[in-house]
Amino acid sequence: MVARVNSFACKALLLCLAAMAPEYMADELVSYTIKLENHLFFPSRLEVPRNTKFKLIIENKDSSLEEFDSFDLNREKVLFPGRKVTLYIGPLSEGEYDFFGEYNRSTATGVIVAVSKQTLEKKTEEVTNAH
Amino acid sequence: MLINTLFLFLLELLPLFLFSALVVSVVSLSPFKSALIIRSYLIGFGLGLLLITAVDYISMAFDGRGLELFMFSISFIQVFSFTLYLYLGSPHRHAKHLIAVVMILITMTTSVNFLSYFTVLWQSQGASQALLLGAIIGAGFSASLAVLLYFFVMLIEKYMPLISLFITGVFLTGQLANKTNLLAQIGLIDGEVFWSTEAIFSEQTVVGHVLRSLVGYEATPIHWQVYTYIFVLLILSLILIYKKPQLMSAIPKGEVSK
Repeated sequence: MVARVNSFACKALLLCLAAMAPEYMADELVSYTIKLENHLFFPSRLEVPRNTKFKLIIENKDSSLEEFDSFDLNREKVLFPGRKVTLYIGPLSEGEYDFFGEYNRSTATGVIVAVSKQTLEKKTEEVTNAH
Repeated sequence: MLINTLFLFLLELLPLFLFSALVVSVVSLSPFKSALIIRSYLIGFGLGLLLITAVDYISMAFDGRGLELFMFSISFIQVFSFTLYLYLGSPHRHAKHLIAVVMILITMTTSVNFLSYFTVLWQSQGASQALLLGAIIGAGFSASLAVLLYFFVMLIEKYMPLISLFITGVFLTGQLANKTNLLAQIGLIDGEVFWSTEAIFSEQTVVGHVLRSLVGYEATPIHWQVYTYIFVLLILSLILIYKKPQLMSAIPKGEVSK
C-alpha cells in the first residue's frame, strides 16, 4: 500500500510540475553570459536592468568542476567542465548581488548590479561613444 | 581553504547532523530499533556514492534542468513519506520503512554535495592539511549542535509530547521550501522576492546557517517558498493534532517521563 501511495505521489508531483506554466522559459527574456576561466569570472561585474527577469548563461571553460553560488540571488548551480548552464534570475530591485565559485572563493567572485534602465542606457551610450 | 571547508560543513553536513538528532529522538519514542538509523545511513551513503557518478547525466536531462527537478522531487518525497508516517502512526507495519526512506534520501543528497566538494579540494595542491583541520572543526561544531538539539528536544518532550515529531516536520518543511528556489532557478516558477530580512538577520552568519539548516530560514524568500512553507506546515500540524491520541499511545512506556 505504501509503495502504491508513493507511486501515486510521484505521478502527482510530475503532473503538477508539467502543469506549471513555464512562462519564464520564453525566448523573449534578455540573456547575459559569464565565462569562468582559470577560476575567474568574466565579466566579474555585470550590470542588468532592475525589476526585470533575465537569463544568465554561465560557461565553464576550466577543466575542473565549479559551483556557482550566491546567497544574495538564492542561486546555486554546479558548473561541469566545458559546459554551459542557464539560470533564471530576477526581478531584482536596485542594488548589488554578490556571487562566487564555491570551490574557489578567493578568486572566483563577482557581482551583479541591478540599475535603472536609464542608467544602463546612458552607460551603453558612453561605451559606444568611447569606441 | 580552512574557512571553505568549515562553511561546507555548515551548509552541507549540518542539516544531516541536526536531522540525525531529531530522528534519534523520534525513534526513541517509537517501537523501532536503533539499528534502523545506522542501516538507513549506510544505504543513503552508498546511494550517494552511486549518484555522484550519475550527476552529470541527470543535470543534462530536461534541457539542463534535470538536477533541480531531481532535488526538488527528492525533497517532496521526503515530506510526503513523513506525512504518511504521521498519518499511519508508528505501530503500522510500514511506518519504519517510511522513516527509513526519509533518512536514506537526506543522507544520499547530503553525501553527493559533500563528496563532490571534498573530491575537488583533495585534488588541489597543498589543500590536505587545511581540509583536515576544517573537517575536524566543522564536524565538531555540527556534532555539538546536534547533541544539544537532541537533549533539548527530549527535555521539552516531557512537557510537550510529540514535539520531536513537530520539529522534524518543521525541518523537512524548511528543506522543501528552500528547494522551491531551484524551480525558480530553472524558470518554472516566479522568482520574485517576497520580503527581505537580510538587514535584520543575515543568513550568511553562523547563526543564520544554523537556522537555515534547522527550520529553513531564508532572508529573502520568494513567494512560492513562503506559500509552500505555510501549506506544508499546516498539513503536518493538522495531522499531528488529529492523530495525537494514536501517536501518544504508540510511545513505549516510560520514554516520555525520562
